[in-house]
Amino acid sequence: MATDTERARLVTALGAVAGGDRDALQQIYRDTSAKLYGVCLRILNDTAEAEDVLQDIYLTIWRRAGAFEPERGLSPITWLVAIARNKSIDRLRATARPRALRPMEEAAHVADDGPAPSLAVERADEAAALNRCMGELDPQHADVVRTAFFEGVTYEALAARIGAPVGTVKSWIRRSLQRLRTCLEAGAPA
Amino acid sequence: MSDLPAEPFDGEDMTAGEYALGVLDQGERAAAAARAEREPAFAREVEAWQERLYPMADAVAEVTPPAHIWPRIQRALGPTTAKVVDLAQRRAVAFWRNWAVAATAAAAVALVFLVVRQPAPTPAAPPAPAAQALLIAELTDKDGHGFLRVTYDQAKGELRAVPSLTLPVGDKRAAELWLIPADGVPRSLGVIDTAHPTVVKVSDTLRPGAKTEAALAITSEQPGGSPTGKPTTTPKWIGKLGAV
Repeated sequence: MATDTERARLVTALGAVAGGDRDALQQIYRDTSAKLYGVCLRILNDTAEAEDVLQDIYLTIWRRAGAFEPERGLSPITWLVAIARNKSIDRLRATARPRALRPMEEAAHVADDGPAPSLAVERADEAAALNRCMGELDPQHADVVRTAFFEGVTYEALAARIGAPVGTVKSWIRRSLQRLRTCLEAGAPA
Repeated sequence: MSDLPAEPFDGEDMTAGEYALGVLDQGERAAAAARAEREPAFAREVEAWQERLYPMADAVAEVTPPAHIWPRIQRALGPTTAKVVDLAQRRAVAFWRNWAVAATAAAAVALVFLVVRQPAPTPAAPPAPAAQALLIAELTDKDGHGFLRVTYDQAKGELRAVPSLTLPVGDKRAAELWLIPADGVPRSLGVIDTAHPTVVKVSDTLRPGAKTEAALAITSEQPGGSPTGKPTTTPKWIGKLGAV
């Protein structure tokens, strides 16, 4: 499916949802629920919690679709992923459930996990650029950024996981964010 | 690992990026979320970070959710509410469609409303809304472009209309705001400023209808608003009230 088509389809569906169209919400669910459920599961690591949050996510999309402003250039996928991550992370923080320590994310695999075709196509370029810029970070810092993103854990949890002071982890992540921004804004390398 | 020297960090405030990445703790997250609600510039910054970082989600494996989730969502949307919504919307649409015909025979409906103008507050310090009583609406044109954000404080009966763009109602025309409750009949909430926030005190008569799923619409009217108390043109922007 062409990039613009996929994006336009979601934007149109969100507009219809804002107008109270349930069929449009169902279409969005069909197109995006596997991705968003994957995001929830990765963060919550618990199917019951993830199912509950997923339901909340689509109810939020139903209520807030009118607040999505495509004219500002925001990607609809980004908007949906933001809702999914925010709901999942809020739940994670609220439950404060002790979670099993998982290994840190491995570096340099952003594009290698077999991104699903339906949603990935739109952002293939963005993902490639991000992957390249992640590759320019110190590998250990990139691992920490990736773990933070995929699991939604706090600085404190990251620090405990790798046995480093919280201040060190904060410094790594802030510096990494700055570098990613600079790298992404610079565009493709020569 | 802990003995590796931390890289120097120049101290730039990275809260927006940290919030988007998800590393803040519960209290810090709540503070960042509240700040995004108050400060559009901060909200844009968070969005910019989301656009930069969230392509990482492409690498998250898709997992088809269990089949019972969608029916649960449908149930949560509520069949009763849905019918009311659809009915209210159909009525509203029917009203606008028939308006040209009906206008000739329109009897003026007595409407009690009061418009209070206030100077535009600075974007950084809008009033802190009461948590539960607040409803919002985004009024969009027929192409879905947002032109106006409305927040409605049910407890105070106070509605705040904030144009995100200057409303193009036409030269020497006024923007009149209408409340369309479940009965589908527009009630005037008065003329609003096309470029700056307007605070509207909703009359006690209209307050029962100003609730979730009621529609809001703006029509272009003569200066001072429709002389008949009913809309004289089709709405240019429309949206419905919903929970924040």
